[in-house]
Amino acid sequence: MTTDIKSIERRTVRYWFEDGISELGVGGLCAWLALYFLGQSLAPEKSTIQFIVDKIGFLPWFFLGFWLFRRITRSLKQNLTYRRTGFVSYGRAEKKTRTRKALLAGTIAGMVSFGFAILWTHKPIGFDPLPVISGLIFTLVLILLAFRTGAWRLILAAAAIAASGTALSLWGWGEKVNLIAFYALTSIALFVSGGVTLALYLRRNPVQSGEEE
Amino acid sequence: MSPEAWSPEGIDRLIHEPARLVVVTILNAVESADFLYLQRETGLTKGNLSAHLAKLEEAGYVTIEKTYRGKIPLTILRLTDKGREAFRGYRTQWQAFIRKTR
Repeated sequence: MTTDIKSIERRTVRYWFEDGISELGVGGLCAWLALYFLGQSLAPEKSTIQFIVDKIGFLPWFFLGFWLFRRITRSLKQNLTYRRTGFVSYGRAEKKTRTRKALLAGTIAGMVSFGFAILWTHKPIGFDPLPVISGLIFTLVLILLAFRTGAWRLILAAAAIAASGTALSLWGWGEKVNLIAFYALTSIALFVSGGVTLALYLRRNPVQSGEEE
Repeated sequence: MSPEAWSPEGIDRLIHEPARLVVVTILNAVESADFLYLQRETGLTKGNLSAHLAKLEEAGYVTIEKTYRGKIPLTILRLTDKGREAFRGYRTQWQAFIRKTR
């Protein structure tokens, strides 16, 4: 028996993505954000509702959604995954890894801000840079995850999200609608990817009955 | 030839055994994992895995927590700090050994 430590570690990290539930959770959060932007566009001009939604609504809405979809993800994992193929808790990364991740996030944020500034100052008339930039951020994160875990399906979702962001920036319906459409399309891409993965996972792993040990 | 027969001098033989190496590698990559997950990943029988875990627990490398999920018994395994240190040491020693024999 040969033991490939690196591939075991990679497989262990990939386990989190094996059932597609994490994509469903993030997809749900994107749909939640699309609802926020829809509400923002529907609020009457210069009304109190518009003031609340615009100025103080986003963060509570985002954190509520984050909390909600984290709970749903955890509950789905508990009821579907852990009883079939076992429970794994990942916990906090080591300090060295956290620093590396923070540096990577800072670099990505810097690159995105730089790209955004360039696009914003040189944007052609009718070009809305927000969807393409948002699409690139999602794409970059999904590609990094795919390479780190070997969950190659994430690259398909990344390509769909990048394409929808680019298309909306070039041929969209105006800034407000573009943002709603971008998050709605992103959630659909993630729902499809997660849904198909979950269906295959459930078919391959029937529920275990009886005692574990 | 069993791995223990040709282990290089100084290598941690408790971790070097292939099945235990898989267990320790998995537990080192996570905070905790349950018995079912380890059994699926190692492909060992319940009895065999239990025996390996008992050896690791005896050495202070692993803690075993028996609990319940609803009515189903659940066994949660964690690598201790001593276990993580031993795994890091094993890895370093093994890489050095491979370099020397190239």
